[in-house]
Amino acid sequence: MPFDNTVPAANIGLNQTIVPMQENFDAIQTAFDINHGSLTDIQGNAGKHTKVSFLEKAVNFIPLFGSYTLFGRKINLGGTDTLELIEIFRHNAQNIATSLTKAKFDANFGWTYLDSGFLVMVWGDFAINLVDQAQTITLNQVIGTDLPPIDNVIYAHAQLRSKTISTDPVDAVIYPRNYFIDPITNLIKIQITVRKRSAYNSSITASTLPLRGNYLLICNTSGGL
Amino acid sequence: MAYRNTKPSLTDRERSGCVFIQQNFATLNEYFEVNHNPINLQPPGHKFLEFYPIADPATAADQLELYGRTGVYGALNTIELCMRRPSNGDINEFTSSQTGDEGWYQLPSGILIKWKWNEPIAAASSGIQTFTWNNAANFPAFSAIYQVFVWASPDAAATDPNVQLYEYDETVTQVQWTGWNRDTPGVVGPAIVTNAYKVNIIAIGKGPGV
Repeated sequence: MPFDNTVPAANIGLNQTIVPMQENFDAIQTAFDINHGSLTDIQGNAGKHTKVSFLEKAVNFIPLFGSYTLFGRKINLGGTDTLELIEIFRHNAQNIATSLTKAKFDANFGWTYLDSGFLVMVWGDFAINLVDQAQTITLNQVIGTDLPPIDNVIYAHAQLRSKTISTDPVDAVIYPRNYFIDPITNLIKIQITVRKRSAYNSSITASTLPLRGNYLLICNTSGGL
Repeated sequence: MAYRNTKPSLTDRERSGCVFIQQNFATLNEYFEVNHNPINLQPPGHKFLEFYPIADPATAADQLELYGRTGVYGALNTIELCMRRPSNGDINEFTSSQTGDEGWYQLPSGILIKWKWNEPIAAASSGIQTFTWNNAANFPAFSAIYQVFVWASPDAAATDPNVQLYEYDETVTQVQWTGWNRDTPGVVGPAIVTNAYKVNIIAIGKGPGV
């Protein structure tokens, strides 16, 4: 029976409004018992959650000032549109909206939000076609589309991998040098120097290129979901 | 105080009906105050505590569920916070972890990070080495592996491990790499490392989702 918040009406005797009042109490119990210990529970569980469900919302909630808000919303990032937990919290008088649970599950290029809310961890691999010179690896992944909205890269690690396990020694060393977001292309760039371990002994030739490498980045985000 | 959703009824006299109405309001007030600001305080009904029941919930296609359970992987047998994805999907247990030289941490997204510090590596004439992750009950297994980073550190007997490692392959259970001695002037080509050393590993993959 639908809840009617206009009963009992003014100037109407209680005995004339008993039925809608009873129906209201019934509707209240039906509503309150959803995912909670029942109003009629005499074991002390009334009002306690039996489930904590997050139903899909289409848009962000505006949180109460100074509060932390958690809700479910679909996010289309990294090629998949999945229902995720969104967290909105207050920082420096700004509402920061990030995801607690979104990740891109992939080896060649993947990422995950970290639960601090401000950090995104990114990983992947790349090919190296040049040695003995500085070079720049460009992650051709669009920030805000393939990646979460991120402000900058704050840590980078990169290393060389072996192409085959026994017959193809890499015979080179990689030195991560710098990392940044290109202000023109808005793509992440990792600057590295790759050196042959010895200029005169190295087994690296044109036929052994490209070398394989992989990277790990920690990035900073200020929300934007 | 008992809540009665069948009251007041037509057979109640007006005064006795008022008693039931007052009792229902009193019960509602008690109910509201469970983990929430009382109705007469500002802001009324504002939640100040979230209680996560021990449950094994099912989820619909448009639903996420947060709940507590006894940790499946945690060594301390504690209650952990879990999230189940829609359509009875993966369960991410994301407050448990394992500390130590070999440890792990699962993020709320379901990404699992494992590490191993100072694993002793015995000499091998081939230079090929394999590390197998701990598969004890308190170590969740990767369901997919994404990237692994391996580097050498000196063992107790050598301040200079004289070795450069190149991670080669990874599966959900193990990591393989080749070790090569750093270049020796006058020696053509890299030399396979045969001395003992130690290795540090960190791996990123997908957690078990159960």
